[in-house]
Amino acid sequence: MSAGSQFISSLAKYFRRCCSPFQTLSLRLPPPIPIPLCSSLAAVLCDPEATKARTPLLAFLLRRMRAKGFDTNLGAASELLSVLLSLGGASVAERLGGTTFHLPPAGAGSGPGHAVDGVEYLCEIANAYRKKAPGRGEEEEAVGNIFDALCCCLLVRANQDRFVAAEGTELMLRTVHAAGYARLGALKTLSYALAGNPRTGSALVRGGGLSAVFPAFMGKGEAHTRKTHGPETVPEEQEHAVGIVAALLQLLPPVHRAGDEAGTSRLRLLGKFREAGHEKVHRAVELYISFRDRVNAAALADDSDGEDDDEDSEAARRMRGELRYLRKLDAGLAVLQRLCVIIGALTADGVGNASAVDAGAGGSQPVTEGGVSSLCQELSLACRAKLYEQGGSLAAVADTLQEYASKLEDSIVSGSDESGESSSSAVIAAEAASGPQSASQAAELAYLKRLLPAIQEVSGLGA
Amino acid sequence: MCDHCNASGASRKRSRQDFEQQSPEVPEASIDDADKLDEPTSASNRPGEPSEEEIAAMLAAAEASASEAPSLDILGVKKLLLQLEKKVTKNQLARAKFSDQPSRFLESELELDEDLKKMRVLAAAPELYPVLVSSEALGTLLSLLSHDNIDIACEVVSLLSELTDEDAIGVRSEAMAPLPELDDEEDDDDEIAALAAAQRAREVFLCGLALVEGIASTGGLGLLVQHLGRLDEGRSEEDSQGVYATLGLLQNLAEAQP
Repeated sequence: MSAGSQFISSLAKYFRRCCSPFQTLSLRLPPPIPIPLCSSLAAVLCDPEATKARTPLLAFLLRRMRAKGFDTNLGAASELLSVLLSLGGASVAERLGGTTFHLPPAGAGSGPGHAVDGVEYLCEIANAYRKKAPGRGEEEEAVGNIFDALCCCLLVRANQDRFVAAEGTELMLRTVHAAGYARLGALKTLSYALAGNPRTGSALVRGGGLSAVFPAFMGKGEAHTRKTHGPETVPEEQEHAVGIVAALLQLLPPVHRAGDEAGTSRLRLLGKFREAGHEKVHRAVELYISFRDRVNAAALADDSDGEDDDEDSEAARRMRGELRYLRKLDAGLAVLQRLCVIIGALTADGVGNASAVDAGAGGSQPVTEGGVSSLCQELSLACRAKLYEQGGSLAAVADTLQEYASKLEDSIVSGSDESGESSSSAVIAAEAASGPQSASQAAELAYLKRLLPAIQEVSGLGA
Repeated sequence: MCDHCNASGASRKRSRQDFEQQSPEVPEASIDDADKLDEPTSASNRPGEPSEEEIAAMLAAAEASASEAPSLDILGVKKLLLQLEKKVTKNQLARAKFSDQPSRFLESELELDEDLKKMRVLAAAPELYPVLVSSEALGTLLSLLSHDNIDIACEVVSLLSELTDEDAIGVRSEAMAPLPELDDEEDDDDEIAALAAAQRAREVFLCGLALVEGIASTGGLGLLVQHLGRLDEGRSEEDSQGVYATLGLLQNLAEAQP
């Protein structure tokens, strides 16, 4: 058929033209901007230099999203912004955070408004939905887009700091307490804001965040989430709550001396685990057991159909390993890993002489209070007792953490070294999304590396 | 295969858009448009009285497009593009000559609007996008985004957004997914058909991508963002729809080339 050859000849023409400069174009056009084909269009669209528009796109979108009253265009603007942020990556997130916008006053007036950065602007937009119940359908989608956009922003470290400076943590906590539709989005935002950033951690505890996060951790918000967002989002809420608690245990600095402000945050956190007969410790272990079983089942499921293992080539075996990893991810491996961080931190952090986590930072300096170390001992015992009672073992927790640490190591290496084989590790690299996240990944890895020997020691003592 | 796709695709587009270029009612439809276009540009024009020549020309154009629409090929596209160039030049001349008499250039603007609507048939044949991209018409089309008559600019936006819509060119993640593998040992017709379909989807998407990159490298992104700034939602319903269409188009572009 001739269509095929037509296609090829027209494609050939197109490519020839791509190689030639733009002299054939109409003179009425502005001079074309050379766009490197490797840079994403999302990033170009957000660049006011490249678009030469009087109203840059980001400013337009934010102003449109701030408009009073919902309409279709507000929905479209929020959708485009979240698409731009998720596709444009760090460059768009940095531009949004680093640009000064003029926030129009909340009322109908069109005064000059005050200057804010993009992160604070987005927080202001999210603030409108703190209590308000959005209309069904499009407006709910728009709220989801607003929080997604905020989360994409928070993948950049500088934006996390801007978020803390704009009192975003407090805003999100108020949103969680208000228990409206936006509660789930606020929890998600908090977990992104916390990733690898100790400043957010202490801001969260200072702002009374523990009383907002732990109910979610204990599953007390599930009925509400099921009602507002549908049953399929309940695991999502669980994931965010577990992520926040794990991040807090990782981030909050150890207690060095009595009255030390940073250390008090950790003390408050650990105190929460002691309350009500260690119910939060028990919850962590129970969740761990259920996720462990689920992930193990997923890992075994595909082993059965791979009988002729030894005949297969190296590539096929690696492929199968990758598929198994993806299957485990689907079954909730990420949550399992964070639960292991929680259990590991509770059993080993601050316990024993060689527990590097407590002493690591200060060497011989720390004056650990007797009360603190006995609290740590108590939690460790409670955690181990519950773990054995439920049929788990600390060694299995350590194995999961070990695997997690090596995956983190791989993704950090492949993130910094783009030339790594792309064909086989493409899925994993895509999942790890190199770049903005690597700083928080490195922090997490460093914590794991200090935690693992401590766990070994504790489990050795317990045996 | 291609003919079949074109025909069914074209009829789908038309039924969805109430796109009546093939029927003899075209003159009436354009009169309706005249009413709409009339408001912002001129209050003194008397709509509804096209001359006999015009009617004849429109009928001829309608017949011509009716005969070519079912099987769009390279020549058909080139014809469309040539017509568009002609209408743009005519409109520019009219605007330059009668800059203070909107009624004198209105007619050429209506024709231009008609031609832009006609170009939507392209969406049913994305494999022909490279013809558009490799011609000067793409530059002309994009230059219309800063046309003095904002309705023309809006028409260009909705045309481009239809051409780059996922209904027309597919979704990147699906089109660029690894092709299904064929078992060497046995010839399975279903497998071969699946492979062919996947290959075709990828070709179509690549042509869409060529258009997207063409728009970007011809300065289209800047013009689109500027166009967004020209629209004023407080002014009219058309402006609101224009904002919606522009945001949608920008999203299509960003998603095709992340």
